[in-house]
Amino acid sequence: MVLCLLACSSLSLQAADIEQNALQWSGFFTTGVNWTDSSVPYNTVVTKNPKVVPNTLLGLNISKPLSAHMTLGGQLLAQGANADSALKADWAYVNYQPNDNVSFTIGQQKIPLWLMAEYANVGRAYPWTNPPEEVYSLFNIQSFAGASSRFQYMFSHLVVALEPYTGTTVVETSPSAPTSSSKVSAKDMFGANLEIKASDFLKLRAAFNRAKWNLNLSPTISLGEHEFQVVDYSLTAHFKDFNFISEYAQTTDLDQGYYTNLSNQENATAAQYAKAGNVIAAAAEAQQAALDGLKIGGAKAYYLTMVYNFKILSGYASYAHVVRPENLGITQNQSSTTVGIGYDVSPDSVIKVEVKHIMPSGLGLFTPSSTQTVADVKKSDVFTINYNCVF
Amino acid sequence: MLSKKYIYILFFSLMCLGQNLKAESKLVIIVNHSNEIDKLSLEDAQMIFMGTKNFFKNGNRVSIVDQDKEGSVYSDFYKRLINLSPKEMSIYWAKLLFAGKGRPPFKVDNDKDVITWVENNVNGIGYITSDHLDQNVKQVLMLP
Repeated sequence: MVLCLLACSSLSLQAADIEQNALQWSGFFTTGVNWTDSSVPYNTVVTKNPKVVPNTLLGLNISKPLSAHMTLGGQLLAQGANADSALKADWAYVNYQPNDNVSFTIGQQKIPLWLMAEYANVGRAYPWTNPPEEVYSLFNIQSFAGASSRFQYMFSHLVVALEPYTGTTVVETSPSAPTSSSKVSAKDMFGANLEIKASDFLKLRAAFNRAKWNLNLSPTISLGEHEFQVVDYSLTAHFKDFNFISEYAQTTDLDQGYYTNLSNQENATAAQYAKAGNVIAAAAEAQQAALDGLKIGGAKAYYLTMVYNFKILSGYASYAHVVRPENLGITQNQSSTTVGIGYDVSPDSVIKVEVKHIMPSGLGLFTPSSTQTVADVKKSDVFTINYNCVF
Repeated sequence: MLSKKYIYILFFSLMCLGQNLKAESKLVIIVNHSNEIDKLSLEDAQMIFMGTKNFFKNGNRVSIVDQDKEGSVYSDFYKRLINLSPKEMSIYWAKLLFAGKGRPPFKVDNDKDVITWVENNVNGIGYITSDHLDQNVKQVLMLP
């Protein structure tokens, strides 16, 4: 179908438009190294041993106008952090824009939920080595298959845009070691992104996403279907040599009340079985009850970042905080301060050096190995050196 | 002593000449002669060259031609148009391009190529230094 569209559109192009309408390819590349002074791995992949591969990724983008109103686009992404590092489709879509006020897109698309959601892999597009994981690891949704539209109104310097969308998605919860139960699918997803932009100087965003997530992952992990909602608000300002970026996000499990009640009922049933001497059944019921009692929603996070650009150098300082629900009685909150400096090798490439000081409460975002406990988690630093470019 | 005096005179003369050249070097936005637009506001020019506004009032899609980003005309143009540096423009387009929300304009090397391109494209719009403006294209805005 795509080939047919390409063939039909090429016939309708005027000769003078050929260069402008040619197939255009671009790309981005990131590589770097990071390590921590913590004995407990941070955010799954950062350990005491400096690693390059998880920080390396390559993206290739192609776009082709099919007519004056229709564009075909796609992007391939290879990530070192993934188990197979293979080049995979990041997104691919067909966009129809009849005028400046409205456009429609169908296909695999980036979700306009987080401020950096649509270009989170493009290191050149933001000041840090990575977008703050306090916010960006709250809910790992990046793209969806479905339809979206954009309604845009321009008033002098002001642009107001609303982007509603709907579709389905599948999230790989363990990219570095996928298993048969690590893929989580969502249906009936819908959301919207509202953006008010004053030139490139001030941008306000509010976004939400809601979907029904199937958490029946395997015969032993059966958490039913949960409806989650994520909301995100952000503000970016650009004044002379200063940039200010802030973002707040919150997740809610809309079915939490139902599952908590169910969990309480199953706990009571398990207690009755135990009283009757049926130990095996009681253990199975108790496990189910414990799983049902896990809180997945209910996390809040924000960050504030100030960037100062001085010719080919940029310095930045950031504060981030995340509050996540307790997991089996263990808190998972953390605060962090980050300072870094970027050196522009060219307008299209940058080298960044960053130090992040993490103050966890309980686990924070640390991921202890099987021989470690929460007592091993301490205040720590994460050091990162990155190179990012676009081409 | 005399030679030092001449050096000072030469130095200040060159400085004044430099100022005059800088003051006279204007940047203009041009369109094809058949385009019905005669004047473009600064706000519209900003939205067109930033990829926010993609259509002329007659409904035709805008075909932007940009200049080589390593050149001085490019950096001067975006500094005057919207006060962004080449680095900031690169970041701006990276955000749109890799999100699937836009495509950077087609690029050519110099003013002469911009004029040729706009001449041959009825919906073409580009920018050049006013020194190279000729009768084959129409000026719609001079940048302050």
